[in-house]
Amino acid sequence: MMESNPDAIFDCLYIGKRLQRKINDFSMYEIQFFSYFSCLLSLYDGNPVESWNYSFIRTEFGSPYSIEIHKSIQILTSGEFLREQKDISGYYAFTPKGVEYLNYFQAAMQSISWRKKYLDTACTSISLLPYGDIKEAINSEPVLNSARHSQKRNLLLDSNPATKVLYSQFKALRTALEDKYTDLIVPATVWIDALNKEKNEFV
Amino acid sequence: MIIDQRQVQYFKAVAAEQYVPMILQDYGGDKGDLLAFFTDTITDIYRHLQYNTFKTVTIYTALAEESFLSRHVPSTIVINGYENLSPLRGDSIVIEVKPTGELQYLIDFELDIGLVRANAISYRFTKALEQEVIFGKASERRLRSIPDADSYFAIQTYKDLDVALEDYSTKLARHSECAHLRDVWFDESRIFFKARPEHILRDSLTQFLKGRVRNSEVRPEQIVDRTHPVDIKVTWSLAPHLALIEIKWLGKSLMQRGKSFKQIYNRQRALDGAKQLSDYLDENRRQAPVKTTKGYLVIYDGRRWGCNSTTTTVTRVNGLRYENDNIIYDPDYHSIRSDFARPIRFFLEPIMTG
Repeated sequence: MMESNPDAIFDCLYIGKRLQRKINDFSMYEIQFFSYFSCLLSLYDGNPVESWNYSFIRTEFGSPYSIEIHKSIQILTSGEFLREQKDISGYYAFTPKGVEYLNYFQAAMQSISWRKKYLDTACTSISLLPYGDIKEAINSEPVLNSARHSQKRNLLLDSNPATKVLYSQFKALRTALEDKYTDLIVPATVWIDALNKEKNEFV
Repeated sequence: MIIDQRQVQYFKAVAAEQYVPMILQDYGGDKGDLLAFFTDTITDIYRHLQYNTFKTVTIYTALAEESFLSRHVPSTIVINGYENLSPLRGDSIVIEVKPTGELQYLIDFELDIGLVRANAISYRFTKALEQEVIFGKASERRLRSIPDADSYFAIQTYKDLDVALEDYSTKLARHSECAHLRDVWFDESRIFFKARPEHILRDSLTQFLKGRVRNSEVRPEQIVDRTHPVDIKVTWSLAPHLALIEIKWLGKSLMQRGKSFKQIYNRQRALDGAKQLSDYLDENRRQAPVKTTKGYLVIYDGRRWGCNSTTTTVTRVNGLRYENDNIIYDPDYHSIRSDFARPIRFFLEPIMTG
């Protein structure tokens, strides 16, 4: 029996539900990607990286990956909360049991509800911006971009100079938006557009 | 931490061009969820509405009763299922999205946005300008045009690379429907390529695949080994698959009218490309043996009949002479090796005179 991380389990369920509503199903990569994006938004909001309760490394292709998310998808699939799509491998959808479980989780685990703000914002961005724009932007944010050119695989370590560049961007973004917006969706979408427009300016 | 003022100014400039801050500033910071609901509804509407048959499509959601569509016209039609949008035709259509998801619409009625924008989030597509705009209370933001997409809010994504390539062929390549492909020609007649168009063709396909193929990383010009760069490499994240795409073009390229052609490529070029890709795949098998690799030979076919370097127009017969001239490959790598996909030919139409 694999040991589960409740935060990662919740994130898989919550992101999966949002993605399924928007694009019919979701893959392991997409859950990993949007959980990483959510974690970045939590950092933007001033939370320390440890508070996310699981960490990320980069894959050999430079995309974000968390073993906790990987294990959670496996647990949820073997427990029949999620099922793998029949038409093409690697994509998942909810079973009715999975929907019930998410509802139960949300009601029972109040301590986890703070994460919803970040998961919601990351997932809402695909309603407001082209999916490809979000993918391109996050792949070129300072930490992932730097990791692609480095031997180090751990992402978001405070000792990493790229993490400092990321925090510097966030500080500049907050200053630019003058704290006018309570909804994180504004910094999220502005940051994505900015990363895409000037991919090479910051790093 | 020292704040980089250059970055601050840059973010301000980006925010000033974007519609999301405009909407939240104009209508209230609590309207983020409503905005997402509105844009999701636009996505759903575009799945069914034959939007291109209208000169204008206006979609809006009212925030107060005075902006209800029913306040501005004697009667509206209520529609509950999106599928009922499919048969609608006319010059213009206005659709009001209710918070319940109900849609009310009116055909051949031009809504003056000025009448509702104080209390409504509005969107308009204008066919003549090929333009999509989101309106705030006093200003508007034009949405970036996405080649081949029905709307900024309705971009098709693909799980399958083969399907994506097929769609690229029919929806984009055939009539050079993106900025890259419009730039690949010597002149507007699209009879001859400009000299050395390879990188433009590669960039067009890369950009299309990047934003649309789910689960993948798409990168141009990837080195298979020291001597073998492949045009595009697609890797599927967290899956042991990769695709190598080799691009060739057929036709003639020209630098100066009346001078000799810079390059002339015929079907032999496609056969050479097939051999080259087969060699890449052999090399790749040595370099990345754990990945299941598939090679794709993609041919951009711009061949025309009866044209010399002074030709400025082409008839339909000569322009389409090679439309169905499928290339017979010998050896047929697709049949003899399982890692070689069926070669794909994108026929690119010229502008024809008759």
